Amino acid sequence: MINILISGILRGGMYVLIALGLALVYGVMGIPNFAHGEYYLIGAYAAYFALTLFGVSPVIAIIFAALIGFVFGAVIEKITFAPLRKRNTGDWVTNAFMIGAGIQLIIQNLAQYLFTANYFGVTQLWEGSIKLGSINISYDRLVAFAIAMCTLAAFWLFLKKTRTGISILAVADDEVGAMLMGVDIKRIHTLTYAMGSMLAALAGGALISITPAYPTMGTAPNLAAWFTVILVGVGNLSAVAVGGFMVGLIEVFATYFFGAAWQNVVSLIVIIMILLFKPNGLFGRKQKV
Amino acid sequence: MKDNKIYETLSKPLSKIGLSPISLAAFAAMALFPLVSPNEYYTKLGLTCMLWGTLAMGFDFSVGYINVANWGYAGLMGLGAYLSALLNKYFGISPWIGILIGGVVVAVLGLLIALLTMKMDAMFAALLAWFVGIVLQNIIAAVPNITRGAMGLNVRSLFATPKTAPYYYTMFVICILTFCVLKLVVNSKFGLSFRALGQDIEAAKAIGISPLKYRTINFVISCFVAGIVGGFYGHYVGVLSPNVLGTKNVVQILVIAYIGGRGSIWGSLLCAFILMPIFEMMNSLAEIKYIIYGALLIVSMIYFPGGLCKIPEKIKSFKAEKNK
Amino acid sequence: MKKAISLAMAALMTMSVVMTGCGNSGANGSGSESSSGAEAASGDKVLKVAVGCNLTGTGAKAGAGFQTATEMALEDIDYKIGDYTIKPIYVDLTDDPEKGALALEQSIVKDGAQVCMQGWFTTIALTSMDVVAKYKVPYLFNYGAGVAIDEKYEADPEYYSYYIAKTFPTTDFIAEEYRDIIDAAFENGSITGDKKIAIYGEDTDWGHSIGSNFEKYFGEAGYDIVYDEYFQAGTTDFYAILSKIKESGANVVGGTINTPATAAAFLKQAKEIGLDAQIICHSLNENADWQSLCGDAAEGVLDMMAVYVDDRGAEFEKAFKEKAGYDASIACEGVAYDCAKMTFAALQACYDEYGVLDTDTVYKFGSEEIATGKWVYDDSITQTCYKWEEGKISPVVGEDAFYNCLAQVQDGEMVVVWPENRAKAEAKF
Repeated sequence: MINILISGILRGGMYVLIALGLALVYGVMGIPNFAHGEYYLIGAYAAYFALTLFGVSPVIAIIFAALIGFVFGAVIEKITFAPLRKRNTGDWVTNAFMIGAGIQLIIQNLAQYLFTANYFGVTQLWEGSIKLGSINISYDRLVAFAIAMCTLAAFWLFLKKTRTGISILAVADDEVGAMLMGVDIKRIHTLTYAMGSMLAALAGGALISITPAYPTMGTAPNLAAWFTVILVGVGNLSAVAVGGFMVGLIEVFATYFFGAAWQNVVSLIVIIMILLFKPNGLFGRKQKV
Repeated sequence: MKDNKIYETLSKPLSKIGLSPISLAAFAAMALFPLVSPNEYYTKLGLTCMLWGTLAMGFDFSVGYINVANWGYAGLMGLGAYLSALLNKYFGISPWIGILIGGVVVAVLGLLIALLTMKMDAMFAALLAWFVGIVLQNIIAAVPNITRGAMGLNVRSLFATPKTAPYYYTMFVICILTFCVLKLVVNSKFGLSFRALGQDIEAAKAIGISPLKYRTINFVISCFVAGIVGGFYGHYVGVLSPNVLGTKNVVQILVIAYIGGRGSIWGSLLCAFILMPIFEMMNSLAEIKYIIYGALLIVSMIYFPGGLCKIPEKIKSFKAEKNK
Repeated sequence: MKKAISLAMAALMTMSVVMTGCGNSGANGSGSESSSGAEAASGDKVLKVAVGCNLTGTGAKAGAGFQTATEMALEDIDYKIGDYTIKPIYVDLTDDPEKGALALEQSIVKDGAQVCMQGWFTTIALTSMDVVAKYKVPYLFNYGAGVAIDEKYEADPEYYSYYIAKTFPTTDFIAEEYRDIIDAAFENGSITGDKKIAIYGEDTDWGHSIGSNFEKYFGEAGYDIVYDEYFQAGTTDFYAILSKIKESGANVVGGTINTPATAAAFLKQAKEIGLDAQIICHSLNENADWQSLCGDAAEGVLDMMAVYVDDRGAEFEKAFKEKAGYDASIACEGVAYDCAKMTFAALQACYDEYGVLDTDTVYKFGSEEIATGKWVYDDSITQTCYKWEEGKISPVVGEDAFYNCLAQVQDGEMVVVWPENRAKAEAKF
């Protein structure tokens, strides 16, 4: 049983990292980013090529992955969401959702076009493993988890303590108010989207030895991140940390007790229950009706 | 202008069944198509256009009017397909009845999704429908003893003959009925409420339009269309696998609906007849095809949010400007 | 105004259908011409062959391999059989049965394919069967392994007789071989304890067909099936699944994973979690990149391995690498090449007998000689021979016909360990 718990927590840590970007982008920009999993993919490819082509150390490769994610996020925001915001007619959320779907299509298929459907992976980043309970957890997983937790802490400090971070939160709270206070909304939007992408890319890079890079790899994390965000309430940043672990645990327990094929079914039932009884999510804050 | 008069006199009775002289002419052309089609391939291609066009119409009925993008549309369609196929396989129920039962069950499932989410932001309905679609796909894959899962289910054909024409006309009937019914609904007072909700939900609530009620009605009708077309799809293609329910098919439907133009119904159908053959032609491009899909979607979202169906209006306003 | 739209709409609809038709044939024509440069020099006699490759979708890599392998087989015969020029039409069967059937139909109706060959997915084979039966065009040698094809064929052998034969048998023999080697290990005491097997697999047609045969054959041999579950292709977190398998007390863990990433994750985590059962990971080596992903976690794993019967295999792999730029795996590109060679050998035999190559004669030859077992292909590079028997669409299985050896990963290499008379090393348990 302890094995399951450990596995759920390790899995959950990654979900927190990915879901946080998703929640941030939605909270600040109102974009339900359907392409979020694709930044995870970008991170994985970036880390792979950094490791094999340039032969850098794993830490640098992961940082490189995050950077690439940031750059891609910024550029994509500038050429899609920014012009849409200017010209948008009708419901912003639905339209932004569709743009996300378009980005997903492009990135996935571009990856397949450029790198074929082959798998790019490495056997391990750090040698060794540690005995926890009755299982050996490889350092790769622990380090990935540690990176996730450190990033989360750093990110939290950034949001709460720096001027830019506070501006981001202000925009999430009240865009017009923030603008009146002299916050450069456009810059904040691009920055937020880029940082959201960076978090996903970081996760993709850190897990390169566990999940190799391939074109449709973003689908599963995307789904899990959405589960997390809906579970805790859309736009609720701090609760994502709890939600990620919960989704991780729900998934491993569902796999253990009901069988692997039923993992998504169980998760869906949980989501339906939540929508039924707590439509704002477990820790819901605000919800437009 | 004499022509206009004829047009006017024709419009009135036709509008009672949801048609206009134009759409009537278009449907007549579609009806005649198999007779002039040079070979079976074109007839099949025409059928494919109609099939995906009909799905896109059903999709547009939700997204174009109440602004709910049904991300589970392929899942719901696949459910209809599997239901009808399985009813036929295990209980010997005629496909014709099976297709109807499939449509009704899918509509009921749509009702449940709607009741859960229609009070909330449109995004929730989209997401929940997406999850439901994925879960349906998982369930069908998880019970291979019944559905044969990914091994593929052989489905009895609707007709004994392998010729395409009978299928074409069956699909044609489904298509024209869908078109007429959807048009009639959107032209009725329901249509006004739908549009009001789609444009500004708060304002619509202020004048007493219940989002839950009208959005649910809309969503259920749209799901019913998916179920019926899905049922036909299964008996037409002859084999089903859980892939049918996948997000890829949703993307195809929504690209057609978005480029066709939301909120017109006919735009989707027309667009299917333009896009499907082009996509078919681009098959050799492999991944690039999907990159083009994506780019088309983004560009049309940002720069031509009206899609094809807004082109006539644009021409009209352009002409009016010139006449000034 | 509205009228103008209507006219435009009607016109556009017909136009687009017709136009794409023309555009399509143009695109296809140029595609196949570039691959058959010999065409211009030949006489009038041409045989158009539709080559089914899933060039897009989930099987795109295999599809590209199929196309390259077929091109190589065609180059071997210089695109000629007798005084006929073989003109291949590469058909993208995609991964969707509806689209695949439409593409095949297009190649027959519009591009005039007279014979069809190759193919990979079972679901698409199922719709292809209807297409070729409808147009009475013979389909030689599809690779589909799924038992659904056999079932569909047996439901109406007369109607589906245009689907001459497939090159991969149903998966029964796979489970039987594994059962034999494990039984032998229990007998000589290499594996001890109760006979308990855990069955796993990817949730695909392949995964289920292998898994259900494991259930059947190990179940019949008195094994206790203590775990039997399938997971989504692409899963990379197996701690929960493996914990459950470990707690089930299984001493044999058998199944198949076709996605290298998934296989690597499964094996690595099995090691982490301390699972000390004998693992069968069928079709691991079908992916050329398994070694680079698994590391030493694959040590001791049993897998089936098709082996080339002689040096021609190595020659093929070298030529393939030169042409395509990546390594061929025997289970995909190798069999595709074999299958293409066999198709052209069959066409040659047909030509030798009748002097004509067209739809009817090939069908006649196929149904009278190939499907009945009169014609045997013994020039294969992967099998002793390919032959069929009356009323069955799958090839005959046996050590003198279609047979794949079992191999074990020992020191990072796949080594043949079964059957005993072909083994290169002893299996370690």
